[in-house]
Amino acid sequence: MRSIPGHISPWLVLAVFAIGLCFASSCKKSAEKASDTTLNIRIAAEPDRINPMLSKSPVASQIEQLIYYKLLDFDRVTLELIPMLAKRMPTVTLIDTGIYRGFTAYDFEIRVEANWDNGSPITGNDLLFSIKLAMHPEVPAGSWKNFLEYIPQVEVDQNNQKKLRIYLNKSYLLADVIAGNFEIYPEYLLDPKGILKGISYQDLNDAAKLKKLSADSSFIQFGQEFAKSGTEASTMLGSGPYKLDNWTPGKELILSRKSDWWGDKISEKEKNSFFTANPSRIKYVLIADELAALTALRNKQIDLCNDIEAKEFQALQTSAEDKNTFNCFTAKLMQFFFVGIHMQKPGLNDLHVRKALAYAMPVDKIIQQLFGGYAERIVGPIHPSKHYYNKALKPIPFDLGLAKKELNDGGWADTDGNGIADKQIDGKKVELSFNLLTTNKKLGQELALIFKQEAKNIGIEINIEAIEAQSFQKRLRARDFDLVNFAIKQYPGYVDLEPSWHSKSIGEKGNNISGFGDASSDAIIDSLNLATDTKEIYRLYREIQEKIYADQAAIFLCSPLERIALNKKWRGEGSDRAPGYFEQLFTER
Amino acid sequence: MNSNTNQNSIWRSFVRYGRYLAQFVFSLFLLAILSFFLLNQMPGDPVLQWSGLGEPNQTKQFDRRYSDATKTLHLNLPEFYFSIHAKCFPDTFYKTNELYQQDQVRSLLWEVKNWPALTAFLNAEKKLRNGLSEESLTQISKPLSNIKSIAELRKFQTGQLREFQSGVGAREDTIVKTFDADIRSILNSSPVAGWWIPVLCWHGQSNQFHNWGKELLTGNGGVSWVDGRAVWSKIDNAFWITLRLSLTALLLSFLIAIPIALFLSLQKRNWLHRLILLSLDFVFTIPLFWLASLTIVFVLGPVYFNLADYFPSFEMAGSASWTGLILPWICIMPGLIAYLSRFLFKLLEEEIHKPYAQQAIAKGLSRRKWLSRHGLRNAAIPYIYTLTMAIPAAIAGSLVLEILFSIPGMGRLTFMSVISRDWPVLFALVMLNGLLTLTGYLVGNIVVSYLDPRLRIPESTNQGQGL
Repeated sequence: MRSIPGHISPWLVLAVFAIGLCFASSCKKSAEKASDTTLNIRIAAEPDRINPMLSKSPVASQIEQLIYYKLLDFDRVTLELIPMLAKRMPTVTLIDTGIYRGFTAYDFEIRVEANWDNGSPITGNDLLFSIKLAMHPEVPAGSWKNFLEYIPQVEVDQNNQKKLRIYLNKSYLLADVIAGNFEIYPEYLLDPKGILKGISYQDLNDAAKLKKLSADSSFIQFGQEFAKSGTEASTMLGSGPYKLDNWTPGKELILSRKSDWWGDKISEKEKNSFFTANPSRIKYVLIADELAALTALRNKQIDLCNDIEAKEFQALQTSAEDKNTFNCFTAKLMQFFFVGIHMQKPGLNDLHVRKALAYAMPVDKIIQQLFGGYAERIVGPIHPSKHYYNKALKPIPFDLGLAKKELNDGGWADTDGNGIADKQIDGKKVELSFNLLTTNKKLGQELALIFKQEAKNIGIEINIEAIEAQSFQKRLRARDFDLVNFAIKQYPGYVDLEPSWHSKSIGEKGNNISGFGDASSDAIIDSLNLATDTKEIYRLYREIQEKIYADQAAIFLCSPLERIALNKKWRGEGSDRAPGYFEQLFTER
Repeated sequence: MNSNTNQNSIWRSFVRYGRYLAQFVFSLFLLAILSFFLLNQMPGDPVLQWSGLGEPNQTKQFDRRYSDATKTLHLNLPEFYFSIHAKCFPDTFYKTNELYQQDQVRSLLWEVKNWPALTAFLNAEKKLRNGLSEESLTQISKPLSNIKSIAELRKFQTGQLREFQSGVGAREDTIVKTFDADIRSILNSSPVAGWWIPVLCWHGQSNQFHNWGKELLTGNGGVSWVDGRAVWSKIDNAFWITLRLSLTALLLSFLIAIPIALFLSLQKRNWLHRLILLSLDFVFTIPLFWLASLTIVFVLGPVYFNLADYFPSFEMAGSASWTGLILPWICIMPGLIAYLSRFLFKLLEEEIHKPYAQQAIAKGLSRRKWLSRHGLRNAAIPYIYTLTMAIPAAIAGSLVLEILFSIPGMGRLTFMSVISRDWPVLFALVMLNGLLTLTGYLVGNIVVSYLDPRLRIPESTNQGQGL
C-alpha cells in the first residue's frame, strides 16, 4: 500500500494552481469580441429546432423568418399582409362550376428571380412538396395539418411552374393569410429520390390510401428522418436572405447573409421590407440569466437585449454612460392578459357579480406594480394595435363603491356575517367564494394576490390555486375552475374569434373557456368569418367586442410592452411583431 | 486439498460479487420502473405536445391525426408487461380513448361499472354529434360536454335534452329519440357481476416500458420529444461539459483541502487557528448564486474590472478552451474547499484523540510524523468515501452555475427537460444518475476495503467475528 505523502506544503499547491490560472487566462487573451459586422443578439432560451414546420418555440420562429420565406407575410412595421416570394397579392376567384364548385381559388405567381441556393428556380412544385411533407403521417406538423384542412387542392401550372392555384374549401376571413402562409422547402434538397413525387396531395388526405402507403418502408422512413431534422445546418436551407452557418447547442447560432441572394436582384420598385437584409452576420447568443445578459450588453459582448425587467430598463435610460451607449425602445407585442370567468358557475352566472369583480380589479395598480408602467390597458379580446379595436369602449374603473352597488343590485349581501356575500338561489345558499386558477409563474401569482385583496373588500372570497403548467392546461380543458389568469398571443391582421368566443367551442374541443355565447353573438362571429368588405368586417369586430364587454365574459387587463436595448453602433427600431424588433433591417452606424 | 480451498475461495468470491452485482442491477431496474411510472403519471398530454396539433380542435381529421401520433410515440401500447384492473374495466382500456379524455371516461366507468353499456353510450354520443346539423349541434354541444357524472347525465336527460328535442325538425327528432333511449339504457344498466374482482392481464413484450428500456440500452436512447435529437447525443454533449466543470472542480478542491486540513491540524490552537476556522465557515455559507452574480458584475462588468476578454464566460460551451471554466471554478471551489478541509480536519482531530494515537505521541512520535504515517491514512478512508459519493452529484451538474454562466451542462439539460416535459431525455438522465450513484457506491466500497481490510464485505456470515 502506498503511503499518502504528508509533507506537501499547502502553499505549493495553491501556487501551482495560481500559476495554472494565469497560464490558462493568458492562453486566450484574444477572446472573440463582438466583431463589427456581426449583430449579436441575446436570446434567453434556445430554439427547439430550425424547421418552421416542426418547431414550437418563439425564438425558433424569430430565426426561421430570416431563413425561410413564404408567399405572403405581414410587414414587420406596417403589419400589412404583403408579397414575399409571390410577385404580387393573389387574385381571388370564386369557382361556380366543376368539381371545385363553391370553393375559392387563389392564383399566385412566384417571383421570376426567386431561386434556390443551387441556382434552380423556386416553383409551385416546391410549395406542393412542402404541404405534402406536412401531411406525411410521421411528420408532427400539427399546426400545418390543421390549416391544410381548408385546402383541398393545389395546382401547379404545367406551362409556367412559377404559377400556382390554391383552392380553399370555404370562404373565410383569414383565407388569404392561410393560402400564403406556408414556408417553402426545397424539394431538390430534401427529396432527391423523389419519394413524394409519385404521391398526390389528395392521397395524403385519404385515410385508406394513407394506410396503403404506410406499408412502404421508404415512405415511412422518409417522414421519420424529416421529423428528426432541424438541427443540422446543411439540410436547413430556405429561400430567405440568411442561412444557418453554425449552431453550437447551448451556446449560439450564427446566421450569415447569402452573398448572391436572389432577392438582391429584384427591381427597387418591387422591393419591400423583406428585401432589405443588412447585417452580414447575425449571432444569437444564449444567455439565460438576465443579470448576465445585461453584463454582456454593457461590456459589448452583445448588441441587443430584449425582455429587460422594468427596473433595469429604467436604469439603462437614466445612467449617463448607458444613455450614450444604448438606444432603449419599447414595442407593443401582440399579447394581452385577462382573467377568464367561468360563466356557468353559480354566482358567476350573474352579470352583477361579474361586473362587481371587474370594478374590484385595480388594473392601473397592476400595470404600475407588476409591469413597471410598461403595459397598455385593453377592453376586449382584440389587441389595441389593430384598426378594428373598439376604442369607444371605456376601460372599467377600479371602484369598490360601484362594485358593492352591483352586488346589492344583484341581491347579494353578507347575511351570516362571515365576510362573504351570499344569496338564496333555489332554496340553497350560494356564497361568493371562487377559486382563481393560475400557473406557478410569478406574474400570475402576484396578480392573483392583488385581486384577492381587493375582492375581499367587497365581500368576495378568492382562493388562489397556483399550479404547474400542464395541470393548468388539464384543468382548463376540463373547465374545472371559477376564475383563471390567462394570456393570449395574436397575429397581425384579422383574428378568428370562433375558437375562443363561439358557443360551438365551449366543449372540450375548443377554447371558449368562459362559456360565452348566444345565438346573436354566434351570428356575428359567423358573418365575420364570411365577410369580405373591410368596413363591414370592422363593424362586426366592434360589435362583438361590445357584446363581450357588456356581458363581462372576462376581466380584460393589459397588453405588455417589450423592453429592448440596442447598442448605438446599430440603427434600428421596434416592431409590433414578436420579438419586438426586425433584425434584418438594422444598419450599422 | 490446497486446490480445493482455492476453488472454494474463487467460488465464494464469485458468489459474493455476483450477489453484489445482482443487487446493483436489481436496484437499477427498480429505479427504472419507479421513474417510468412517476413520469407517466405526470399531468399533460404528450401526444398533443409532440404532434403540434395544439389543443383538441374541431377540424375533421383531428381524431385520426391524434391516433396517428399516438402510434408513432408507441403510446397506444399498454404501460407495462402486465396490468391489474377491476373486472368492469376492459383489458384494452389504454387504447379505448384519446389520452386527454381517459380520465373522464374512467370516472364514468367507476360509476356505471359496466363497460359494454358505457361504450354503447359513448358511441351513441358520437352518432348524435355526427347526425345533427351544425346549428343544432351548437345548441346541444355545450351541455353535452359538461356531463362528467351519472347524476349530471340524468339531469341533462330530463332537462336540456327535452328542451332541445322540442325545437328540432323531424329528421333530427329521430336521432335525438335514439340518443334518449341510449341514455335510458345506460341509466338502467346494472354493474357487471363481480365488477370489483381484480383481474391480472398479461400484455407481453409489446409495451411502453419494454420499448423505452430497449431504446435506452441498445439504441440511441429514443428521440427527444422537443427537438427530435437522439437522447444519448444530447446527453453526450452536456455530460462532457459538466465533467470538465464540476468533476475538475471537485477533484481540485479535494486535493487543495488536504494541505489546509493538515495545516490546521498542526497549527497551535490560538486566535489565528480560530480565525481560519471561522473564515472557512464563512466561505462555506456564501450562497453560490450570490457569489456567481457578484462575480459576473464585478469581474466581467465594464464598471469594475472589465475582464471579459480574459474570462469569456459566455463563450465556453463546446469550445476547447478551459478559460471559460475559470470563473465558474472560482465560484464553486471556495465552498467545496472550505467544506472538505473542515471535514478532513475534524476526521484528523477524531483520529488523534484515539488511544493509539495518544500513546504514540506520548512515546515521542512527533505530531507531524504521526499525521503523515498514521493519521492521514486512517482519516483518508471516510474522506475518499465522501469523494466517491460526491462524484455522481458533481456530474449531475450545478444548475445555478450553468444558468448564470450560460454553460450547457447536465444541470441545465435536466432542468430544461423538466420544464419542457421531455420525458425521454429526463428518463435517460435519471437512469444515468442512478447508474453513476450506484457505481460511485461500488467504487467507494472497493477503494475503502482496499485501504482498510476490516471494512471488506464479510465472506460469510457463519464464520463469526472476533470480539
